[in-house]
Amino acid sequence: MREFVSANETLRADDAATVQAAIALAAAEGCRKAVIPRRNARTGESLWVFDRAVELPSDFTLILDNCVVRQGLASYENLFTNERSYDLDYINRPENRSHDIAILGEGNTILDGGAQNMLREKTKGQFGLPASCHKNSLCRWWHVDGLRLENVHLRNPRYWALVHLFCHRVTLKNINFQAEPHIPNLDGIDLRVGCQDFYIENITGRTGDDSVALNAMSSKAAQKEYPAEWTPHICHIKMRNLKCDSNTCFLLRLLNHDGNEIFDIDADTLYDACDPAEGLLKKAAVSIGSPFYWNQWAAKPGDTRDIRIRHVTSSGTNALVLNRVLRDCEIDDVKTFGGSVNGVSTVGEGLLAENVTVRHFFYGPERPQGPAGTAVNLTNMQGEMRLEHLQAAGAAVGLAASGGIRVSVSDAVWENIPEKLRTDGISSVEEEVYHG
Amino acid sequence: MDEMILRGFVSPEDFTGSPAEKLQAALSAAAGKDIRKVIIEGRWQVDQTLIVPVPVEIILRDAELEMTGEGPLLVNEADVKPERAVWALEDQYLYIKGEPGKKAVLRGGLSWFHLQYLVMEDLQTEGSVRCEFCRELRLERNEMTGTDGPALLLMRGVNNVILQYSSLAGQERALVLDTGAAAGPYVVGKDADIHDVLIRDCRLASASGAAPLQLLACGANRIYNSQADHLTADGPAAELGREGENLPADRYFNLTLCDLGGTPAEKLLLQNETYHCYFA
Repeated sequence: MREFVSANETLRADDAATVQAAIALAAAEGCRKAVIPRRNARTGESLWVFDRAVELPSDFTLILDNCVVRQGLASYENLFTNERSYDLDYINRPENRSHDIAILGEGNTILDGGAQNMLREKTKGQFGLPASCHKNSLCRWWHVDGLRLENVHLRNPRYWALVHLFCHRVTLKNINFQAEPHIPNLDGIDLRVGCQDFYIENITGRTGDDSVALNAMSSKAAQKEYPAEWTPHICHIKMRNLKCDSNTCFLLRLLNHDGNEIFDIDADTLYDACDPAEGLLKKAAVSIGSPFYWNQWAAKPGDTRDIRIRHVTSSGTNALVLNRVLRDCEIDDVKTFGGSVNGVSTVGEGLLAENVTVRHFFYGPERPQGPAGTAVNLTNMQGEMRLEHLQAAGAAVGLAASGGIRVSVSDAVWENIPEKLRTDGISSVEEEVYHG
Repeated sequence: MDEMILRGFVSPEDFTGSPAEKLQAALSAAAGKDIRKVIIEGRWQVDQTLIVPVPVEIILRDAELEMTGEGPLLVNEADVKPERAVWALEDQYLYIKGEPGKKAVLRGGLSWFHLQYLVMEDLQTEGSVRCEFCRELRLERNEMTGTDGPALLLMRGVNNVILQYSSLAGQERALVLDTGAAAGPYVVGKDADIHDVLIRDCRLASASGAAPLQLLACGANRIYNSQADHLTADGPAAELGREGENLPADRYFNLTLCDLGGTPAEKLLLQNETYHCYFA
């Protein structure tokens, strides 16, 4: 049996059909591996243009060999998805669940959204555009167990670049983004409801919106798209080496509502790769929770839990934004630079914190003329939070606490901060070791 | 040539001449004919530096390349062209990789200048790998040995590096980040700082007994937003600054050095003040 089928062996009327035919041939022959080479023999060019999505069957490997694959100019279709992934009557059956799909890039492989077609969240269903943005993503996966995407450059995504729903055992490695223009909705990696057991490593470049977003929300209409017995939670996610510029949004976002939980998240080394000289101030390096975006009800205590984050740099307005509910969370080694205003902060309805610890937190202006914000802004918060080993310099306020939160601070160093502590009378701050 | 395009890669055996001429012809054809992939097998000795046009992917398949003459074994095109210091003419996309479990040796030093996106995987390098004004580098699973200098030297203007799962050994040092080190011209408009460098899960060794990792800021140029963790080394793993030199603390800013296999006092030599650094 030969090792693989090249797409240049199965030429058809268009590029998507050509690649789909190669996949079918490889499946029929049993090698279950197809290659998209650099040169397209149908056109003689080093470019493959898909006007419709190529569907990948289970137990299949697609090699992208130094090729450029682009979404068609007039198409509202993904580049790649799993087989019959939009046919919910089919794909939602347990026996039809896709499994063990790999897309592996070699060399300079580019998945390209090409020209923007303006289908985004604010335009969907208008101006003759489709009602859903999902087909505008570069890759969209539904109900897959075992998925790998490695070694690719993702250029000019038209919407969220990589979307996963009800996917388990997924590896995403060595993925580089270049979202142009640098505009909202151009997320990098999106994990939506029901995603478990992900390993994400070496994610770099520029995204137009959140670089990695774990979003578990469900409207009643969305809940009808999947069987009631499926778990919508996002859990068991490990990530390492995220080095992205996320435009004005978040490097890592964790967001859940509607009874959907997020838990067992391990994020190791998140570096904000933006250039502060560009003047684009992102919201935060890490955002956990939100008072917005819920469909049926907002997240309840315990819904967002067991989260470990370490080694973060941030030039955002805030380094960490914590909202709504958070339980059993450890955040270690956070540093600000560039135009960062606040270190730890909240917006909207505040936070109920249960067993939340932030340690080794370094806040300060990168240069003496840096902005003066609040190093730790715990306004409208309840519960308990521990802050250990803080170094803060140049803030207008060191620690602001209100809403009844009990804060314990140990080993804090405040430098050049006129108002070190601001509380509302019902919150308490216990300082074990204090230098000022 | 049509056969090469259809095949999807170029081999030096497709050409005639000396080993250096055959290798150079393969590299040039891969770029000139838009094939972009060169597969090299077997043992090759060359007596002149090979210039790598980009974008290109070089695969070493049970292969060994050795420089027998003067100068480095490989340089990218930007390192030698006259307009190399023009910001807009930065080289892009160079991939060099071996195959796990097979020999992939580059002996004689590599020099990368003004290059965006470099990947080096599963290689054994002997001789210094030098990078200047380079960004977006990913170096994984390499065995790097410096013969007349560090195994890896990150010079001025290098940023956004992921170096992990590798071993680096040198005579004096194994891995040096030095904002004052320069070989080529200054790329006008670029920043000479070194930043956003991640060094993770590496084994470092120096024959001299000095700390194998050295971080050196120079003048106003800083090293910042960088991290070294889970390193193994005999004795001190890292030295920050130069003995007897005292630069302002913010030249070493937002650094993390942790999990170095011992306490910071045992594993880290601090020769300079730092600003907002985390050592554990």
